[in-house]
Amino acid sequence: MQLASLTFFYIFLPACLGLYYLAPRRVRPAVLLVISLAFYALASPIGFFLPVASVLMDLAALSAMARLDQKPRFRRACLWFSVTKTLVMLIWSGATALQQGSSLMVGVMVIGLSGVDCAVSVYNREAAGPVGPVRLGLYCFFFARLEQGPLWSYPDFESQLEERPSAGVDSLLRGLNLLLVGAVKVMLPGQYLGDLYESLRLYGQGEVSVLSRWVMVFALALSVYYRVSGYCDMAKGMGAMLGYRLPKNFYYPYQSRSVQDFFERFLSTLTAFLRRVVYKPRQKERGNLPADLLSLALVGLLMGAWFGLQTGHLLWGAFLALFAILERHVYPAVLEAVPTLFRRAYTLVVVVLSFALFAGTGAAQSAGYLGDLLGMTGLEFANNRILYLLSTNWPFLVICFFFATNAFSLLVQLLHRVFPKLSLPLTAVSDAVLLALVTALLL
Amino acid sequence: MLLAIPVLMLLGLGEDFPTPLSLTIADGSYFSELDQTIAERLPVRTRLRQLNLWLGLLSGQQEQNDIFISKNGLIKNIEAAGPGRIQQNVAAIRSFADRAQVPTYLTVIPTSSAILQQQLPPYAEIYNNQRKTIDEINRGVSGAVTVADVYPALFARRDSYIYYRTENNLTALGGYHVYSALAPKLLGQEMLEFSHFDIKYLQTPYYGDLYQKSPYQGVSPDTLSLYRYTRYARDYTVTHYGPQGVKTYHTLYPTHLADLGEPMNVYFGGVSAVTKIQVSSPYLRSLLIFGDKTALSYLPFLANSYEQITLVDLFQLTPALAKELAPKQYDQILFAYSIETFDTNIPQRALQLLAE
Repeated sequence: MQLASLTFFYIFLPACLGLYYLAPRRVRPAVLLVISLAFYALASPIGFFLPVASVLMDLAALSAMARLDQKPRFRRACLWFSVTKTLVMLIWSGATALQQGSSLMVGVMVIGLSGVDCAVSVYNREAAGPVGPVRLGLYCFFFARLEQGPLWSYPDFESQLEERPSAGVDSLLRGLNLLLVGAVKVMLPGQYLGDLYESLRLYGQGEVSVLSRWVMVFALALSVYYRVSGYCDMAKGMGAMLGYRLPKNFYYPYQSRSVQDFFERFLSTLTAFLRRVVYKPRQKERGNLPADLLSLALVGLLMGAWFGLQTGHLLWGAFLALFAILERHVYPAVLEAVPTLFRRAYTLVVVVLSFALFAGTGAAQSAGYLGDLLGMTGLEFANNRILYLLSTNWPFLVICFFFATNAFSLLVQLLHRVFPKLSLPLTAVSDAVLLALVTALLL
Repeated sequence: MLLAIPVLMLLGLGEDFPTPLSLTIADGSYFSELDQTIAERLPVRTRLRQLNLWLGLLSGQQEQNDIFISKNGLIKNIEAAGPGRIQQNVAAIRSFADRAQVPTYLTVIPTSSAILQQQLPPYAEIYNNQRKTIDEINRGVSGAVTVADVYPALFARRDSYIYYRTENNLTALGGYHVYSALAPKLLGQEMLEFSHFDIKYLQTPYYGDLYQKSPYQGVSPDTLSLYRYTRYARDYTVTHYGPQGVKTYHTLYPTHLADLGEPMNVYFGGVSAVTKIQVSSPYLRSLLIFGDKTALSYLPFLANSYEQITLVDLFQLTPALAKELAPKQYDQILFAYSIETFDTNIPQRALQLLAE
């Protein structure tokens, strides 16, 4: 079963909400855990047992850490066990996916990194209470965020759990609104731009041009953004419907002022996670250039690995990390001096170029795409085919880019402020419209 | 209140709720089937599918569900045949012709995506090079079977209404042009002139199978035309043999079927496993056709030159009905398939049984 499916919207979600709110408040976490495990078993029946085994191992490590609280070396060993086990699971899953030519198993990245986050939180004594199976299971397997996150810090999750979360009518409607907006993002621009990218990627030798490559890469950049941010919005919306406040994962990354800023806006919960797990231990080494370079490179590579272990994805992350390093250590003053508009343009160009690497299945293909974009491979600038395609697709591309900025969001916020009394009824109406749109897209 | 929708739908699903099996859950096909079941029971689903289409067109997608969409009509993008399939079908037809020892003919009819290319979007990616495939088939059967190439006749009249706008099939006018290409091979110089037919149009607008998949509101509905031979009197008896039993009509055009919700069956009652058309004509010859739904278009013309035509749909033919057929008793045998049908596996076992 997929998140974006009629079965999910018309059977699973209503059943989930019904079971959750009919249960007594104190057992709701356990009910939600069972629902999440059921969802994961249905969504990934073959790959179900590996992440479950991983979480059980995390539970064992956390129990050991709690029992041997006064033995720091043993606690550190438990932490490293959890981290190493997760890395092995992620590398094995990534390598298997690469070999089979498929994408990464659903949920494995979120579940694995959540386990590590919990272990680090417990090790750093940031967890308020003992970590039991229901708490850890719900934190790792919460079905809403299995597809693409967001990652959620364990202390934040724990503090919300202590409040015994529940949603009022307002939260239910707003949560539903966000869920449906997310679904539309995945299925409309996410899907259609993905199809556009695929059709451009399949252009033969006489058809490809510099312009077609730029459009291909631009479509890919927008498609990835809409798909991943759409799933994250769906997760946030479902969380809100259940009374949980999940963190935001995207902050309009294509209006970033620098590549470093892009890292803060694109998969921002992953950056925050890496900062907690990778950066924080290196805080003592600030001013240590090799350590800083290594940390930035690691952030870039892990961001690429989020999408799988394909060479193109890793090169994408490495390319962005290189520019982040250059911005921090080579031309920080130049960047500060440039007006914001040009900084945004520079960042957009670098990010779009990086997606040329993302598109390649191997290093040679990635380099080839980058060479095509820069006009270094002898391609003609444009031909009738791409001009015709642009003539029919340019409004959609422009609209998608517009909605990837915060302009529309600011407008909606303004409306909510100016007409506060109409806010809830308008949300209800837009929910109905969005539900019709989502249903239409799923047919 | 939004939750009321799924509850009401679940109550309506009832017995149609697909049975979950571990295998189908494991491979994900159960949920695809469940999605399909829900989709079929959604209220206002046609409107929602129109909205889906419109969103696709807005995003620049002029081909959806393998159907090219334009105001001029819906055109299905036919898949290319799998490797070896053409050769298998050609070998089966050659083998049948060798054993039947009856003059055998073949025509492969192109679809609108080949003939009406001027209606396709520029740079549209067409899966199947039909001209090339038909040439390959014609070369393959050469020597064993007489080929009637209808491609040029249809291509020359591509600006006429020869394909339906909402159905993946030839119109009656298209059928006449197929007949005009078949007749010289089958009948010598005895082709019936177009002016020998008068035309009646069914009043009810028709939306065909392509419209059911892509209900684009911008396309005009089709008109079903009935061509009646008027030069000389003809009486027709059409008998259908199928799993549901035997049905007989005493006209080539049982128009009452349009009122019963089966508009395309106004053409001699549709295509059954075996359809026998007896004609009171001066001709004593008989024709056995192995065909598909394209026969709906040309058969009303061809029928007037034979005493008996039997149309066999090999995909529906049962062993019991196959036993009753005696191919060697016919004067001529014709294989007439759309290129789309020819790209599937024509039931070769049935052909072998018939040839024995």
